Amino acid sequence: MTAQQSPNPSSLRTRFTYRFLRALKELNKHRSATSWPSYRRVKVAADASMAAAVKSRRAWTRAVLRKIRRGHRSPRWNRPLATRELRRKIRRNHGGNPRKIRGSHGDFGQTNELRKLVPGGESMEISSLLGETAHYIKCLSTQVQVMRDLVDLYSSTPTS
Amino acid sequence: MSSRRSRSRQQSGVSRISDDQIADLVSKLQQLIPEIRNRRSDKVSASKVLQETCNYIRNLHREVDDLSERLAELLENTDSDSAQAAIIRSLLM
Repeated sequence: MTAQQSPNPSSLRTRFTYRFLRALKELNKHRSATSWPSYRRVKVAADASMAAAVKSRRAWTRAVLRKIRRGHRSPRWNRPLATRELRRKIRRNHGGNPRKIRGSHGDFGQTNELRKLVPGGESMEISSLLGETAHYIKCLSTQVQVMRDLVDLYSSTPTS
Repeated sequence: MSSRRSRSRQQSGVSRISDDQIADLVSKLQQLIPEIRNRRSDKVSASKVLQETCNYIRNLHREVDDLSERLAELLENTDSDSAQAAIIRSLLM
């Protein structure tokens, strides 16, 4: 197993691992309770654990946590928007097209694709988008590393 | 073209980002993408960086999906708590 450094109890990797393992334990307990295919439950648990480990410090984690919370509610329920969300909604609708700030250059046409890949990316300004993308990539890589280690460990553990 | 620019100037609250700021952010992103970092060339266009970034993120998503599937399968077959404990110990030490 690749252990690059001694575990820092407050490192992102450690925080994520704790949460993810707890979530997997819960999933195992209620295995037949939900109707989701099990791989999807694992994936959502992984994404949620990472977003929760980072907390709401980042726009992308806020978007992930929002989406997960919304998933637990009835889709028809429209709760009144909080002021900040309302302001953001207005800015989004009246702010024209934030996607191409350099209309004539070819360069930033690709932000459209990137916005779809980064949670919450659709409504970010270009500078925020790039910063959020960098952080998102770092966290995704950590998530993948831990999941890979888990798969290796589970594969090599004798089952009872 | 000009009409689009004048429309953007009328937007309130949307700050104009300088080209330098964008170039700086793009170069930071560049450092994170293994594809580009390993090529050892400084002359990568912003467009290429964004493209590689998208590819990289898509690959990571695919890996998460694949690993989730494998984990789900493995979880079905692993029931013992002692296995869990051994795993936790290995992961966190």
